[in-house]
Amino acid sequence: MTQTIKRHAPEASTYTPNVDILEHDAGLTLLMDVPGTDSVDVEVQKGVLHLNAQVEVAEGREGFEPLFTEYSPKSYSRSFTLPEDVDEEKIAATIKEGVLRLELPKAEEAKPRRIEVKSD
Amino acid sequence: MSTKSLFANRLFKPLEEFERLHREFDRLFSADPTLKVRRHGLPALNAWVSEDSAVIESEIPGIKTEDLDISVHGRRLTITGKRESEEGNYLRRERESGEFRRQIELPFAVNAESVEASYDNGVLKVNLPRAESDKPRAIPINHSD
Repeated sequence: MTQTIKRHAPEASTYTPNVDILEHDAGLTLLMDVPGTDSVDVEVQKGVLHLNAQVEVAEGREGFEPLFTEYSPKSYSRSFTLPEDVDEEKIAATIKEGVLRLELPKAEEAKPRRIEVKSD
Repeated sequence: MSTKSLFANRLFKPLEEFERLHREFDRLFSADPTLKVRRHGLPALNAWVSEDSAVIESEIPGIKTEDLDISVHGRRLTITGKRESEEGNYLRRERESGEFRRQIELPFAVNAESVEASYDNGVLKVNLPRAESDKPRAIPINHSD
């Protein structure tokens, strides 16, 4: 999946978004907070996962004065070195309510396998 | 009340400014696990006011709308909610979960009946019209002839 927002505000600062990584038998799940966008650029390059997004934030409103300004237009950027056993071809990404969810399945041969011991 | 006096009370508040900067620093560095700085569960908030209404936007990603509560009492807006976390074996855990509460004071009383809120891409947006009773009113001066 590769979705990109074309417009880039030059004054936008880059934030390191918060990430959770969970491990389970089938692979890894990565959750990243990206409030304000439904589009994240997900890219794997030489075993490194790059996550980038741009967020447009309403800055001014006609006839309104700012009372609090705690965040402004920004970009989110984060990179992770993938474990070797992750099947890069099968990475799946979804985004919901400002949270990116990546499923990073382990390659078939890397999954734990039960070896039956036969007695003769 | 003129427009000028409506905004005059927030022209320079060094303490508030310091607190805002403090929150912003916490936010900037909270994602770096080596710094061990926690932001205090406060969702970041932007707010604008005009003479007739206020608009607030807040970054609260990944919650269910039924877990979010907005209440208005006079000039005070309170946002409370909770974010659930997933069960599992965490290798890295930076995203905050649990309950949060944010309260702000607006420069005018709000008509609670007409408050509208929406939640989109993890951003809460609330429109808060000023209470009619709180609006400035021109008082006609009667001539006595």
